[in-house]
Amino acid sequence: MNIVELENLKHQFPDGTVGLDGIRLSISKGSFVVIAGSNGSGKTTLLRHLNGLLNPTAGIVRIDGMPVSADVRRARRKVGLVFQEPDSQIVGETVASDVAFGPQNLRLDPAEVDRRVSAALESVGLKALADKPPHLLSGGEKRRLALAGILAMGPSVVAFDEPFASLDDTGVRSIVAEICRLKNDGYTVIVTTHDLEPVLFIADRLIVMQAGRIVRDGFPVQIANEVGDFGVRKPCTCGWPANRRE
Amino acid sequence: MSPISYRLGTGALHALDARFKFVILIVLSLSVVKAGALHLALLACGQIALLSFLGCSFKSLTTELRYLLVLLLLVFLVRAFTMPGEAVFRLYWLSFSRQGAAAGALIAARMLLVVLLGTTLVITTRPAEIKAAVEWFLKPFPGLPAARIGTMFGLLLRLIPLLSVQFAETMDAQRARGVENRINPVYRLTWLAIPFLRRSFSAADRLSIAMEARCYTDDRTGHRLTATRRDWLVLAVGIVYGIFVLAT
Repeated sequence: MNIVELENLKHQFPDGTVGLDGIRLSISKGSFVVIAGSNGSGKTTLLRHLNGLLNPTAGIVRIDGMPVSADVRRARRKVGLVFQEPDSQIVGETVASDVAFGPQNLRLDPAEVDRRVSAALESVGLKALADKPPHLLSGGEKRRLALAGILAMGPSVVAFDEPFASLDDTGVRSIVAEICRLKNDGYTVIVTTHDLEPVLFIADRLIVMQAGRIVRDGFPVQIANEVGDFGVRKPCTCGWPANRRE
Repeated sequence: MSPISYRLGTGALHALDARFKFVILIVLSLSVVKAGALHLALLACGQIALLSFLGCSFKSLTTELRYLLVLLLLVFLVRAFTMPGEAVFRLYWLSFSRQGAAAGALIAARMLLVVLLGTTLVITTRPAEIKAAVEWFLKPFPGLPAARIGTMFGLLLRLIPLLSVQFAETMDAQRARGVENRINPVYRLTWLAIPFLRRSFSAADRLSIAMEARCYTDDRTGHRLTATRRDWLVLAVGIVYGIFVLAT
């Protein structure tokens, strides 16, 4: 069953730039999809349509069978978006209050808010830092906090926008581990990146975008060799056995 | 970490309802404005003891309040040099008077004490409780969006450390490109303010989009504030002390 369906999605920015140009895409429930592309290829614009942060110029976005425009709040509850810069996403004065922000907006009972905050912090391994000010966390911890804030809202789809940008190796590993855990827990995971290396062998599907269009769509290891043609760095592991023989 | 920020604790002050702390802060601040040297000394000793008990480093607190201390020093000097009275020494045509120095010291001490009282409130109260208390106080005023003001208050507390980091980064970037060779302070300020403001507004834009993505609404689950008998007792003591200071 498809949880995300995009039909002929087009988006044009006020200055006339075409962000998305006729995207047709279906993502099945529980899958892990990587969207790759160079800067300005439309990855972030695409993600922002999934929870109604941007409205399409033409076309339709359906989340779990219902158009986003019909109930934007539902779409935002269903699709959690982890932004590229976690500092832009963190609104709380402490780690726990930031995670509580989403459930409080859903007007949940205070006891339920506390329960969700506790569960989300536990799941990303930040429970011990609950009372710490977020600006004192490391880059990887901030991204995990942003993820906890999303998980506390109970989404079905978790979309990461450039999750590996400006992270050290430890930070990248911790985010990859979180992605694997989410996938195993049955979430639909969407990751936009131009660094395919960390996710190449764990993703179910790779979509390559260029100038607002989907130019490749397939099994990651089968099409990863071609990504260099579209401004995405080819993973070093591509063609590894052949290189080794040489 | 800024010394003027919430510190985790389980003491009586931490447990006190934020609304009561606000009222006590207002009462004590008003009484400080009228207090004489004796009461000021008593309150100052109490404040210093309290802040050390709360683990606040006076060195970092002095660093944080350095601009305020400079301002208070200016207030003291202006008062001492402009108030007529018994001259202690003369500087050109200006006379440093004993009465002026006493009045200046009193004003500076009062202002500093009010700031220290506020610091104690911030150190012992979770930002979410401060936000909830602000909302609670504004609720009776019709036409005032209490929830939105409370959220703005909370965001302000969250963004101050971020903005100070951005300010320091912008300043370092300017220094790295030799801005210190320019003597004109207006030139330096302009080249510092423009990138800093541009960065701050862009961060505010991104923050509002992220809040929208998390279903932000004014009508949201609020923080629970509960008053106990101890809160009322502490409030009564605070009010009685304030009245006593005002009356003597």
